[in-house]
Amino acid sequence: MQTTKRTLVFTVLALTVWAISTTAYASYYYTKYKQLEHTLGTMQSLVLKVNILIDYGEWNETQEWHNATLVPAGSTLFNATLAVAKVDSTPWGEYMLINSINGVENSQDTGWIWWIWDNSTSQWKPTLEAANKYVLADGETICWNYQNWASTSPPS
Amino acid sequence: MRLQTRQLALFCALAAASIGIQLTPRPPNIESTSLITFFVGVVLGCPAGGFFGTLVMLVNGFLSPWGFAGLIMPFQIVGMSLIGVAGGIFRRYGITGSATRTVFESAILGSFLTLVYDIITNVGVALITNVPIVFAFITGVTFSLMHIASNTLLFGLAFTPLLKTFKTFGEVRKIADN
Repeated sequence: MQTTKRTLVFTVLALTVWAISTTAYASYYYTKYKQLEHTLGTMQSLVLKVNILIDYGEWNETQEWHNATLVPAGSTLFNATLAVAKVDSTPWGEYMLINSINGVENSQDTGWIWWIWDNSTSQWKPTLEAANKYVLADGETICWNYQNWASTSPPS
Repeated sequence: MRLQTRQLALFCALAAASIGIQLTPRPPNIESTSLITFFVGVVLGCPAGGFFGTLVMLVNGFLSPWGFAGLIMPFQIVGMSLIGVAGGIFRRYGITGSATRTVFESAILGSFLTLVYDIITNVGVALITNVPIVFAFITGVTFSLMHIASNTLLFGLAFTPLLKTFKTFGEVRKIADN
């Protein structure tokens, strides 16, 4: 066999191996991607995505957003808060009283109050429910606001 | 296929070495049987290479550390025999050019023949388990790539030194000096 023809044959063989291997490998990853996409689709019906804002307000006026936090369906606000922050609480009957969030404790004048974002009015709405009694819905936005107990002004 | 005594002795020694290595516990798909089978094909011709592949894979099918091969064994035999026959074809076209060229050519042949072997065995898996052939190949692609990469390295690094070592045998001298 001539040298050029021989070189050509071996080049074609090498390219064939490369083409088949890479195609198979790409297909392998595509299959894995599709499987994971399917699993994610199944999981999405079992989990909720919520946005949680921790507004330190009167403490130091800083804010901490936890967007698209994934929590199991049926989770309460208390469970979701535990997932994103260090919470100290005290059970009081069937309610959980929040003592502190991320080390910022309630005082006589100020403390943690939670608000919910109302999409229809685009405003924060006050609530009276205990955090461990409020079951979250998908896509909700909640704010833990450190504020004066007497204040009725929503988070800024 | 008619072998002289010395050729037969070489065949048996290589078969024993190949089976010994094949039956030693090792990582999956890292093997030297393909290289030795190809080498036997180069040294002793297509029929001997094909028979060598058949023999080694038949023994391996029963005694492999991974267990009895079962229905996949015929596909392994066909795949390995083809590697032996390919060695004979390589011999027919002669091993010419520099040692570097031989290293590259043997590495490319190693990768191509391993790919062919893997396709054949994956076809076997697909037929046995009744899954689409493409699916079987894609599922086993990680093992195939490991197999191809290791054999490319092994053929590239070991074929030329092996040929030099066995050059003292008359048959090899004829091929190498072509």
